[in-house]
Order: sequence, then C-alpha cells, then structure tokens
Amino acid sequence: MLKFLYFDNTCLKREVAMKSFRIFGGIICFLLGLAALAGGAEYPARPITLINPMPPGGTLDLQSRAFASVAEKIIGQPMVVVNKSGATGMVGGVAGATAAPDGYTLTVGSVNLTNAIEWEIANGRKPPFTRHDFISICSFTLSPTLLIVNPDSPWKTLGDFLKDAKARPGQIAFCSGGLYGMSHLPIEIFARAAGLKFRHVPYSGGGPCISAVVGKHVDFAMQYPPTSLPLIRGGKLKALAVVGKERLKSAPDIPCMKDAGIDAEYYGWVGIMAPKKTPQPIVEKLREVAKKVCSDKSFIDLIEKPGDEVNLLIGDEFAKYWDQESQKIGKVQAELAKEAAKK
Amino acid sequence: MIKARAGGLLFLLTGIYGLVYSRSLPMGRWNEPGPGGFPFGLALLLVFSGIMTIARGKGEKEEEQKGKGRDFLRNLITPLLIVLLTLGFILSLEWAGYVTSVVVYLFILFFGICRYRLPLAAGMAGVFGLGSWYLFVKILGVQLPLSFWGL
Amino acid sequence: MDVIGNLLAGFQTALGLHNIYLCFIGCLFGTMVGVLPGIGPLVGISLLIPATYGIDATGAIIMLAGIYYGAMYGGSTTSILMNIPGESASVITCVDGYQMTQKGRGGAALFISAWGSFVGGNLSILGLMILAPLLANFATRFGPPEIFAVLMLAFILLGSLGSGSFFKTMPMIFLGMFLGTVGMDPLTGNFRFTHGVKDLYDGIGFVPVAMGAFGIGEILTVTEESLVRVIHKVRMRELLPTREELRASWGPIFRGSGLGFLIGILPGSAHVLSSFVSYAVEKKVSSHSEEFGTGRIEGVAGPETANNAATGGAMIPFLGIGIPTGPATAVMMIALMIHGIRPGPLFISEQPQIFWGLIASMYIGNVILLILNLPLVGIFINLLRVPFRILFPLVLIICLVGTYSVSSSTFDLLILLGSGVFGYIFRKLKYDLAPFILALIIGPLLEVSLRQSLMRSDGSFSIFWNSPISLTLLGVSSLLFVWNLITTLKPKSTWKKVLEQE
Repeated sequence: MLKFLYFDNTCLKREVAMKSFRIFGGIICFLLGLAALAGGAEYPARPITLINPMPPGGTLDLQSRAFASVAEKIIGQPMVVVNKSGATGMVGGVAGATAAPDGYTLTVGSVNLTNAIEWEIANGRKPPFTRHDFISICSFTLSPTLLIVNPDSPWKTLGDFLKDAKARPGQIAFCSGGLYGMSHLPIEIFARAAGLKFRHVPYSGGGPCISAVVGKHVDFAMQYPPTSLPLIRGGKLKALAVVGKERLKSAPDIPCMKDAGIDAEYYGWVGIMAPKKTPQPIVEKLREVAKKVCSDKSFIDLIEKPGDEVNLLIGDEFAKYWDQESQKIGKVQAELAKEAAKK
Repeated sequence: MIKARAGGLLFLLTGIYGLVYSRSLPMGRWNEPGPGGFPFGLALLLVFSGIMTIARGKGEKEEEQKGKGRDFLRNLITPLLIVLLTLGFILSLEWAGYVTSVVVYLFILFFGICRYRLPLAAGMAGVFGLGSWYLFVKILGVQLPLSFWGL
Repeated sequence: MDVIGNLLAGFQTALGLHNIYLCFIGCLFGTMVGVLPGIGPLVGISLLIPATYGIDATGAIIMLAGIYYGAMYGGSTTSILMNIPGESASVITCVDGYQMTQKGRGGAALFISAWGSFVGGNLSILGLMILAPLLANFATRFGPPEIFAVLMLAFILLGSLGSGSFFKTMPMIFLGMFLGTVGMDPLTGNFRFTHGVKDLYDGIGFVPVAMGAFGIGEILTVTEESLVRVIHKVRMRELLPTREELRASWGPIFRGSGLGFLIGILPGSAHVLSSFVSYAVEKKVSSHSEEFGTGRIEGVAGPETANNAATGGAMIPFLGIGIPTGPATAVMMIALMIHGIRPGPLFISEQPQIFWGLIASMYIGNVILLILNLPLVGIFINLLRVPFRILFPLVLIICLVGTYSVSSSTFDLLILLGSGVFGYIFRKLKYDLAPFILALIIGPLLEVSLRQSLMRSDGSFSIFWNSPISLTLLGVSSLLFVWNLITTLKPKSTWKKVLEQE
C-alpha cells in the first residue's frame, strides 16, 4: 500500500530529505542536549515550535511561516509553525501560555488575541490567559485599516462622509469580517471618536466583506491594505481615509484620520511571544534573532510584497504598545458589551 | 416498528432539548434577529417530525424478528469493542504520542478482534503503525503528537 | 477577440519544462491530498506555500492550482470505494458510488468520475477563459438576500435527495441544521448549546461528522455481522464502464459542467452546493429516479463533474476582480501576494502572462490528472481485495489521522467516534445520512444570510423581492416545494392513471 505512494521528484524529495535530515539532526541534538543539560547547553539546542492560534491559510499563517523560515537560518535549528486554531485564538493562546517556559515553544500573537481577551474581560468572564502570561519578544507588523467605500457612492471625501453620517445617524450600514474582530473594532473606535452611529452587518471574513462593498450591499467597511489596495487601484473601491496617525507609504494620497482631526487609530500587528517564566538569557537571545530577521532582506520582501510593512517593536517597546492597545480596545469592548447586554 | 419509533424518539428528544435551551438565547427583534430564533424554530420542527414519525410508525410492516435477544446483543459486541478501543486510542493520543498509541491500538485490533496470531498481529501493528507515521508526518507534513521517546 | 493569441502565448509559457514539472507535482500532491480523507486542498496548498518561495510567481500559482483541482479528482476515490467522503464536495458521491462498488461496478464509477472531472474541468476553464472579465462582477452582485435565495433552493433540493419519502428525509435535515447551530453565533457572539465546552466554540466540524457517520458507521455495521467480507472478484473488463453506463453519463456530465461552473462563481461553499444540486437535478431528470441510491451511474457522473467545474467558476472572482470566494482561493491569493502579485481587477490586463499561463496549465493539468487517475483506478480497486480484517483498522487510522490533521484537536476525534456510533444507529434505523451531513453545512449559511438580510433592511422583508436574482430564485424554490409536496402526498400511480385517461 505504501509502494504506490512513493514518487520521485526533486522538489518534494528535497523537502522530505531536508525534513528527515532536520528531524534526524533534531533528534541527535535533542539527545545531545539531554546529555548536556546538566552542563547548560547552548540555546537553541533543538527545534522550536511556533504555535499559530489561527486557522491555516490566513495572513497570520503566512507571516509567521515567513518569520520561521528566515529565523531557522539564523539560529541553525528548525522552527516549525503548528496551527492550533479554535475559539478565535483562545485554544492556541492557552496552549502557548501553558507551555514549558524553556524557549522551545513560542506563540504567534496578533491583535486578534487582544480583541478576544478584552472581549472576555468586558463580558465579566475571566479570560483563559492575558498578555501578562506572556513575555513579548517582538512584533513585526503594524498595519492600519483603510475606510473603503464603493466608487459610485455619493461621498467624494472623508468630509462628505462625516457630514452625511451626522445627518442620518444609524442609517449608513457597514460590514465587518467578524464580530468584535479586527475589522469591526476600528469602525467602533472611529464612530465613537467622531460621535457617529452606524448600522452593522457582520460577515465572516475579509473577502466577503470587501465583496459586499464592491457589490453595494453595504455602504462602507474598514479593511487592511494588502487586500484592498489592488481593488482601489482597479477602480472597484475607493478609500476615504487611513485609520491611523500616518499616511501609507504605498498610497500617500489617502488622507489619514489625524489629518481630519479625528483621534481614531487601530493597528493590526503580528508578533512572537514566549511563556511568562522563560529565563531572561533565552528571551534576550530570541530578541536578537528577531532583530536580525527583521533586517533580513528576504523576510522584508515576504512581508512587503503582499502590501504590508515591516515595523519592528522589540521587547519592552512592544510590551508598552500592547498595554496601551489593550486599554484602548478594552474601553471599546466594555461599551460594546454593555450595548449587547441591553438587547 | 421499534426501529421507526426509535428514530422518531430521537428527533423528539433532540427537539425538546433544543426548545429548552434556545429559550435562554436572545430572540432579538425583526431587524436584528437573535441567535435563538433559528434553533427554536428547528427544535419545533424536530418535535413535530418526531411525533409524526412515531405516529406513522404504527402503520409500517412488522420487520422480521431476526432472532432477537441474544443474537442481537451478540452482534453488538464487536462494534462495541471497536468503539471502546478507539476511545482508548483517542484518549491516549496526546499523552503517549502518536506512534506509541497507534501501534498499541493496531495490535489490540489485530490480535484481539481480528484474531491473528500474536507475532503476526504484532508485526502488522508495527509495520502499519510506523508506515502510517512515515506517510502522514514525513510525506504529507501533518503534525502528530510526539511520543516521549522522540518520534 | 484576442483570446486565441493569448491562449497560444499561455501554452508557450505553460509547456515550458519547469512549469510542466511544477504542474505535475501540484496535481500529484493534490490527488494524494484528495484521496486521503480529511486532508483537503486547503491544507495541501498551505503546506506547499513555503516550497514556492524560491520559484517565480507563474510557477507557484500553477503548482498550487494543480493541488486545488487535483484534490477534486482524488476526493471521490474514498467516497466510492470506502463510503468515506474525502471532503464536503464528495459526500453525495458516497451515496450511489459506494453502492456501485458493492455491486462490483466500483471501477466503472471511478472511471466515469475521472472522465467527468476531466470534461467538467476543461469546460469550466473554457468558461473562465472567455467569460472571466464579464462574470467577475456577477459574483459581487450576490449579497445576503441573493445567497439566502440560492441556499433556500438548495435546501428544497436537499429534501429530494433522500431515498425514502420526503417525510423521512426532512427530520434528518432538521437535525443536521440544528447541530449546525452549535457553537458561537457569528452575528452576535452568543454561544449556543456549548455548555461551556471550549472545543465546541467553533461548532461541530463537518469533517469529523462526515468521516464518522459514513466511514466508521460503515465499519461498525459490517463488523457486526462478521469480519469476513465477500469481495466480488474483479476482472479487468469490469474496471471499465459498460456502453450503457457511458451513454447514461453524457447527460449528467454536460449538465454537471454547466451547473458546477455557474454555482462555482457564487460565494460560499460552491463545491458542496454544486455537487448535490447536480445530484438532485439528475434525479429529477432521470427516468430511473427510484433507483438513485442503489448505484446509478448518473449519481456519480453528475456530482463529480460539477465539483470539478466549480473550481473553474471559483477562480473567476479571484482572478477577475481579486476577491476570493472560498478558503482555497483565499490561500492561493496569499500565495500570489507573497510573490508580489496582487490580484485585483487589473490582474488580467496587467499580468497576462500569469493569467494565460495559468489557464493553459489548467488544461494541461486536467490531462495529467486524467492520465494519473485512470491507471490508479486499477490499483485502488485491487486495494479492496485486501482482506477486510486488515483493511478496516487501517481505515480507522486514516479517519482518525485525517480528522486530527485538520484541527489538531482530540475533541474532534471524540466527535468522529460519536458520529460513527450515530451513523451506525441511524443506518440501522434506515435513515439517510447524506442529507443530514449536507444540512449541517448549509444550515448555518442559510441562517446567517437570512439574518444579515434582515439586519441590512432594518427588519423589512422587501429586501428579498427587491432584487431580481433573489426574487427569481425564491420563486423557483416555492414552486419546487409545492411540486415536492404534491408528488409525495399523491402517489405516482394516481398521476399515471390521470394522465392515461386524458
């Protein structure tokens, strides 16, 4: 039964061979590491697992695999991304937080985790883990959303849109890729900052959300540059603003919220975290590795070609950012939870 | 007759469960339908179908009583054993790792249920267990739990 | 139109040794991934993305697309031979396909399935090639009301899938839809029927339920009697379909191609929908509709063609406008983005070499897959000759690992086992499992689109009849429903008598 499954082709054979070589090498290193543990072996002495709490195939998967493939070369050990998806990142997050703090199991974090954690807190439930259960190694992207509308809509600038929204509260409809997720919260933050009310139709996923704006099923949405810029260029979408304090490098003609005087910011970030009690020397080593990865040209290419930008926040900078973000998001989630409870 | 009614009973029970638990979900308004509406409606339909199935069950032909009682129970043993064994495999998977669990599982299946001789069963368990590991982990790159002895 | 010119240029690209090689790998990997149940094209594509880092964009998308439609070819294998659906699109093939295997016609079923996939795939690529720019926008016209209307039609058709009466199938559909509501409600965040079990937050997955109910249920049913199973000795001639079977297949294949292509463009579960809509249509159109469920070749030819044709359709919104409509195309889009290509409305005009190279390679890929799959039919059929006592533990392992590979969750394995028991029980009670499983998939979609429509329209039902698409489809659904009711309540013989008298 196994015989007919044997096939020969260089590409996969190389991959299989490399995988076997790595696993074999990993086993040898593991055994050596075991022997050397008493003497304190050099970290990393065996393969590192990177837990991705999101399902395979998303941007998170992509960027974490990009990071892993470049980091491998720097540390000389395999770095394997494992998907443990479920409950918007909770399952993977718990696995990462409760893993052995020896630096061999890391977690890929993203703003999704903050969204989910703060939502639990806002609803009076104790989240299965929080950011304090992790030590931040680094975050390497920080992407704002774009406010997208259909090109046929009557608003030509952000100013038009704001005027119209003030005149008809609760009538302009928006869609999001998921309730209380990374395309819904920026809109809530924006609405509160500008004192507006909208009608929300939740969708599942960024693709259907963008499709809804193109097809005029809703009036606007907030989506991230990689998926919306191509359609903007192709004339199917129009961006009225960048939800952040700076304009985009790749599209400087789109005004940002700060220009219009609205204090609305929301960034999607992807980063690497280690469990809380990981020893400091290992944490330092990982941060060094992260710095090297983020200055590596091939990694930068892998992130920037799809349309994102590499924005490195190391260690304490990242922890501070995460704290601020959690507070901001926590506030919005608390208000949303109150509204939801009223219904 | 029993068979038809058993099916109906299952639908009825599920429907009742649904009715009970979906009442605690917000029903929402017409312009914001809540999560309770759909399950509630379905539960109602299930209760209705359950009752109809039980009622109609009377009219169907009596199926041949294929030596029920002891035979019926005896037939159930093998499937039951397989279910229990699989349960054991599932529970031990993450604890003992894939390779260990699968070899033990296959061995018990081959030896206990299929009644192969001990060495043959052990050999097949080993070959298929390791072979499946090779296929899934190496060739297809699926991630399976590691056993404590490295694989 | 410059189609021919572009196509020839595309063939020039695709016939390059490098690209053919990548196409072959993609197809091979896709077939393997499709044959092994649980591991679907999504996982396969994600796994091979890192391997594409060093290749150019054209080669990368050729290989990944190969995995995508290769998986559609392979998915029917386990459905037909072992009654285990490899992915959602192959569920309906289990029904008649497996019955054909029981009657010794498994080889013919596999053959027709491969052949139908080939025709369906090619015709849909033809459609993709010619109509992509025109139809790309069509997909975006389907908002929640239109999707609701489509799913309503599908739901009515689902009722006619059962081998028993309408009244026996409907409770299974209701049950499936009800189980589909378990988990977190995507529109409000409430948890339904989870009782605090974290693993249920995402609901009850299709993969464990389908593999359990069909595969494990089948094993449990057979082992009840004895562990020795008489497998009909297969002769070479029996591997090929008879002339009658071939003749009966042409209709379903052509109808399936058209249906699959059109449904593939729609957002959502295009493959599942296309396969069972095709089955329902074939059942209605056929003069032997009572025999469906006992091994009619039309029940295999139609769905298998449709699900391959759906891949061509699904590529249209993705390539034509840059909006992926399903998880597989979403991953392909990400793969392209890694290579610096950003699919959007200008993709076809700005990157013609990639678009036409891809189109040409899809034709080539279909040929490769046909060549790959036909001899495999013989190999697979011979696999069945392995004694059942050795085969069924292996099948159990395949089901278990297949489920685990999707979600790495032990709880899913428990669902797998539970569904096995459930499938076993319902099989004994003579209920149909296929409508149940399909309802599990489309139930939540139906509910979500209904609620989204009402949210959009602020509670007004006029949103359904304001849209021409939605109005038409709902009208057809109502007619079908009434027709179903009439034919169920009034026995056929009465109609015959009525017609004969006139």
